[in-house]
Amino acid sequence: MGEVSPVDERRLHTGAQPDDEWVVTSCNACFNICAIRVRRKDGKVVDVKGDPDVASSKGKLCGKSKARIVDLYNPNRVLRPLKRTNPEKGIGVDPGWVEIGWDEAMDLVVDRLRKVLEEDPRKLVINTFDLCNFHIAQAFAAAFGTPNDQFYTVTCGNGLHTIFYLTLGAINSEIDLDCCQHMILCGSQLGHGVNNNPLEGIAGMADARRRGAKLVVIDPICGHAGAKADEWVPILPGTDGALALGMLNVLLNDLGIYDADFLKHKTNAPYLVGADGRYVREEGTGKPQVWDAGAGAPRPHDAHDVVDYALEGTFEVGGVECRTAFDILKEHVRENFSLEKVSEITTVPAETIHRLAKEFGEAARIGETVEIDGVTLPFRPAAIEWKRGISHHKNSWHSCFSLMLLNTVLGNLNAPGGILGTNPNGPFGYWNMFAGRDGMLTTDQHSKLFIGFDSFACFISPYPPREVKPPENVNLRELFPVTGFLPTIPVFSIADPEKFRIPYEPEVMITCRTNPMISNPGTGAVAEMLKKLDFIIGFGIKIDETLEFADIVLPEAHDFERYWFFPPNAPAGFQKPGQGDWYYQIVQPVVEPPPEVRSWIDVMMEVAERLGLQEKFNDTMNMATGLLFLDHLKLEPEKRYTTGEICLRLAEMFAFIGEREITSDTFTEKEPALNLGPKSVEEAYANPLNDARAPVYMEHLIDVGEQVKEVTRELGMDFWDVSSYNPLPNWTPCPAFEEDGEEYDLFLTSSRLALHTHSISADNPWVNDICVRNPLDYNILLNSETAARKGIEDGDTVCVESRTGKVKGTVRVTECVHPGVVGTLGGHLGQWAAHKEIARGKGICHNSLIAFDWDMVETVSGQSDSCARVRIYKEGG
Amino acid sequence: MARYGMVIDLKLCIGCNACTMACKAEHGTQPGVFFGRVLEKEWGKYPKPTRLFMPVLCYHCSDPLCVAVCPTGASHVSEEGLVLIDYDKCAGCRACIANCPYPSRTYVSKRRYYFPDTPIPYDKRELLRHEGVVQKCDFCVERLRQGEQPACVETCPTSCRVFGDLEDPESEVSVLIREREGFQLYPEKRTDPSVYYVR
Repeated sequence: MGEVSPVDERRLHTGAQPDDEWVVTSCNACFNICAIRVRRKDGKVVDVKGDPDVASSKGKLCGKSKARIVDLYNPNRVLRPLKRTNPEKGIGVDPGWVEIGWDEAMDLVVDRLRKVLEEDPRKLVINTFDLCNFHIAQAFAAAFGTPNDQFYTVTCGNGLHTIFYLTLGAINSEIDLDCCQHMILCGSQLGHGVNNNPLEGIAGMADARRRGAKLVVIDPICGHAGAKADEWVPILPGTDGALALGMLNVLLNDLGIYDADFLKHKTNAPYLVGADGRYVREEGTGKPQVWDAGAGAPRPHDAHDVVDYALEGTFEVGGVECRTAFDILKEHVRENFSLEKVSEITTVPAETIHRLAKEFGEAARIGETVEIDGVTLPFRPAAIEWKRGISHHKNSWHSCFSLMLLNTVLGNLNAPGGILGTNPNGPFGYWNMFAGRDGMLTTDQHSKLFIGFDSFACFISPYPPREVKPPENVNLRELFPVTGFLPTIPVFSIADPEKFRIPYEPEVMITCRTNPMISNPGTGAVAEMLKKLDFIIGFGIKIDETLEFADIVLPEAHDFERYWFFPPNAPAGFQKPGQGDWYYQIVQPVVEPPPEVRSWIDVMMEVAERLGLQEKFNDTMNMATGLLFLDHLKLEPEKRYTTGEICLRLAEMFAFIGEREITSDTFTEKEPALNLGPKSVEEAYANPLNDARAPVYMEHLIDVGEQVKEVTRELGMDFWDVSSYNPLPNWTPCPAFEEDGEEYDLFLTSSRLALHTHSISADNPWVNDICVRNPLDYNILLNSETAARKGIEDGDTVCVESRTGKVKGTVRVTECVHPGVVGTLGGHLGQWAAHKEIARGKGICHNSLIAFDWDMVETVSGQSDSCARVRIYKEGG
Repeated sequence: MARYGMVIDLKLCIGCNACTMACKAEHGTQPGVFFGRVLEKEWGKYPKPTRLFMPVLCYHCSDPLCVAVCPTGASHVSEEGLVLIDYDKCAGCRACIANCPYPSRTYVSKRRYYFPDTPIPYDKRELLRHEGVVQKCDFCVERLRQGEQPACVETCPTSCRVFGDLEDPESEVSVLIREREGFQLYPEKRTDPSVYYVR
């Protein structure tokens, strides 16, 4: 570094520290990054509070964050490297851990990795969900020579993230809580502590309630959002896509409520489509065409002189009969998604579906505008939002597309009051949404965030489609050309590389901060996958269910003990969309880790050096972070750095880009975050001010589907289904719906609690002490009518059994669950790791009941289904 | 003189228990002991059930029955008008618990820790080292004396808890009680709680 900044000197100084200090950092109790201050007294953490001066928390804090104080001092923390002595691996098998020194541990790790490096580096798989530290996996993998840096099993949303990119230009989405007046949450609890940017979400939802906004929650379980809603609409799991298409039918065909102006100018609704389902393209240019109703002639989609785009009708262009995409969509939902049919699928009464659509459409105030900072924008204060609950089904792609269409036809995409992508236009033009191939919306968010890598949080661009090729990556990304997010797929391909034509056998895994044994469906299948690997190097604060399969476990630092790369709160996901400031937080150590505990990033960097990969590693790190553009900051080729050193160089870089200065006050209580000032109107509300068109018809799926079919058939993978590659939104039943339901008569579903996240919160004693006292948490929820029919009473110990597994738990008889459903509250419970003395035996392991075979996977988005049919009976009954 | 009070907006409380956790962290209460909690209740029939989240704590009554019955003077009204317990004086007779109309007090027979036999550095602060005493919410009196709000109020992400002076007719709490028909719990007990609810 050319000049050592004051921050560098201060933060890396490990000597004299004040006896009592509030250290500015960020929370990682869940995947979000809320700004916090942590109080260190006499070298120990004694309190946490929300940072009053940073937007992500504004001095507020959830329960998970406070509870992390005790995680730091859990006596079951891994404090020294552990080596397995029992060669047998399996669920509940004692690994026979013995403590070893760091020297021995590093020798074992480096020797094993060197062997793979010499044989075939692709045999190494890195499995991590250390969010916003993905550079480490990417840089290490690139230096090592393996493509496999993109495996983690946070099974949130293969379908949803992709649809958000295609429609909103960003990886995530939230309702514009600043001015929405009619919110529909579908299987989601935005604003109730379990979604993106949770503290801002809760505050925004509370403000919406104060001003009288209406909330409708569509969910099989009346969870916390349902409890607070103006209306809870119970629905069968996995059927929300059908409901959306039914509502779309009501809006388009019955009520005629849609934003025609938006559809004409900001979507492909007016594009002309021929009998083969493809665009009717202009000769010579190949551009998709629209019909200019004013001129009575076809025009290329981007012509500036179109008098009036025809939205409906049949036309003849160059001797070819064609219709608008909107016309086809309208007819499709009219013919296939009648209220009666949708009601039968979803169990929502037809009149309710009609009313939901009418109220939603009317609340959108189509035609109204609002002026923000002198710019006139459409005002659309109605939006529908969803997350994993919808995405985690085999109909993921189509259900997410169908739900998004409800927003699209009302013209609320990235509009005030509507549905917002998490920052499709980045600060200082760092990334943007733009009109890509065929005028359709695309973005460089995923590539610009990590320069040189087509990836944000392992995301790959969904549009334009990528080339279809024989697979090389364990996530089979080569066979998923239109999606961007492929967790869980490696569980299949590692277990059976030959079936998926992976040209090598994965042999060694590095795993950190992800626990597939609990978070992935099909617990037994995950165990088989792990057993298939010859050597597993694990990092952990505690031994979880996955690390019980590891050969070496290295003690990992808590977030209060380590740096992250900078910034932890990438705006593409971790800064509230819509109006507000751009700002960058920091994660920096509050206390020293225990003597033999290290940040896994630092360890990985040492491993790279010992493998002789330092120069390659630094090269890739320079590329992945963008440091290579700044001579005075980029990493020197042969030097090994610490995470803190790289973090602070990145902070300098982002300050430089933002024309700000890092001083000795930055990242202290005086200036807790690097504030870059307010967003422009274009940054807050992208679509109305952009030429890019959002899809109402996914034309590109036709050609891509044919390519996937061709390549998979050439590879002899005839089992690879391409039937979902259709341009029109559709609803297909989850595999569990295909069963007759006689033996297994109920559907299993779950709902999250604000105190829980992933599989890491259940072993926290404070969290546990609260949840075990709440009437519904951790229990099996059964509707009173269903319970009466089965002779089950409140408090009974019952078995819940699917074709895949069986669990035991306590029943809570309630009115807050659909009668066709067995519900659970609390996320990833039913944990069994020997070291988890608190979590063990609490709640049920939902994922152990879900089948995990290739028939459960939808091959457009790569989503595996979470639906299971179950039966419930009294223990011994 | 000012009278500290709290208004809790039940319309806004989402039952996230951030307050419960903040209270636990602030006071270092032992396993099973909560000075503040969020009770849950459901009623009605499917498909239109009602589910309520109701934060409860000590109500710091103007006419506290607990103080009236305390034989040792441990339960007392502080100079700020708060109902506090002097743990050095408490004999653990639990007359207060028997007479308090609210679920606010807990008898602690023995100091216990979340990790049995292994007090963590946090526990070693010995916030509540007393055994054989009745414990309860003190409205975070130490924080109040430093000009801060109670931990539950500071942390609540919905800001459904408002703290202030009930004697000042223009304070936020007084305005809320007046304009939104704030109510006290069990008014028939004539204890005049300092915590009001609005819905």
